[in-house]
Amino acid sequence: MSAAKTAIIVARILNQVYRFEPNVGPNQVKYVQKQMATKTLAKLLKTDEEEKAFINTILTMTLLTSGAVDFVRNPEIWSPEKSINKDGTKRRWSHILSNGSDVALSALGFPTYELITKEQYQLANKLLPMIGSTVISSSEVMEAFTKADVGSINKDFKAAMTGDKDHLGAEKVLYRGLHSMPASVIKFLANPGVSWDMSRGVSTSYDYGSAEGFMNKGGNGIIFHMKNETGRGFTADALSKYKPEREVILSGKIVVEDFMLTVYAGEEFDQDKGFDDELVKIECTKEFILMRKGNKMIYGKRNVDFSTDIKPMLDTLLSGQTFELENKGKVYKIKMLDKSATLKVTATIS
Amino acid sequence: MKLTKTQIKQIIKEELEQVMNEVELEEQEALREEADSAAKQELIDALSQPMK
Repeated sequence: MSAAKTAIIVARILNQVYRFEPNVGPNQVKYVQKQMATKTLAKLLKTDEEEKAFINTILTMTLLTSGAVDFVRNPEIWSPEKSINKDGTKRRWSHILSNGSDVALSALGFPTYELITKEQYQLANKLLPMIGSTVISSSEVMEAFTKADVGSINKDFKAAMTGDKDHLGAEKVLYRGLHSMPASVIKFLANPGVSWDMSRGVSTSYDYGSAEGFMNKGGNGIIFHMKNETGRGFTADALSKYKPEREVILSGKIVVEDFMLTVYAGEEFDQDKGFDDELVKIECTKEFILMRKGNKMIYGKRNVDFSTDIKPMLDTLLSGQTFELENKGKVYKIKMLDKSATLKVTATIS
Repeated sequence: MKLTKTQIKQIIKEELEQVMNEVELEEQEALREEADSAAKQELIDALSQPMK
């Protein structure tokens, strides 16, 4: 097994250490976890190459989850003057590491008090695509755990690992929220079959609530429901400084399968180009469309052809233009209300 | 086959219209592709940021 793969398996097990709640008083939890983490690393990392790969993996994950993302994406814009905290102090590793990552790196002799360098951002930029596309199964993690006898360091931890053994691999569904997006992006995504390259690595979550909360921070929200059948991704989770977000770093090609769009529109009066107070709610997927005004359904159609029945309507509405619709002899002229769209996208990652 | 002046004018007019329509369609397609490309880049940039 390569050192890089070993590093990711060790990170999975270390993540479990920091998810584990030892049966001790609240003041002792950190101490017990530190002891467990140190012993776990000693049992699992056997060579200098594996240690180095593990350190680089944790540094890369940390720079994406709590470092300066702009430097990760383009290390060339880094400068010592820009690498600072909000209070103006120079940014050191200890400022952005989670407790678990800090303990692990310190145990391996990494100087966490040192400043973050341009070279480390360059390394993160290079490693992210690989870390985010790694496929590790639950059985591989469990095999490494058993083989190195990590369970002997704490019986309760061993039981917790065994109980959680089906979830040690990557999650099969990952979520990502976006908010305040331009209508052009909604239009681009409400289009089954569109795809794009996300191999640079993206932050996702296995917790729907985290992604939904982020989506709801502004209008024109998008939530991705990504099917991760191949089990890709790096589980940052408890090793990230933002533990509650249940973060997973993912990279690969994303393809849209289906969508569910909800958008509100105003109905235009011919006489004065004013709008009716009661809004029209439009809901559609690639196969159906439904329009309601209050409790009244003004238009509904199932098993429609996406390219002829839905796409032209979405292109018009999401471009801010008035869309005309005739149903039962009545003509409706509707225009999208700004920032009123909510898009749920079902996609695959490979 | 002999064509009258009017028939020739009509044929030229129709051909010209067809070419103009094709040019218009190509321009629309190019604009659409440009818009899609810009939207895709905005999406990638947004996804590149963490959920914080």
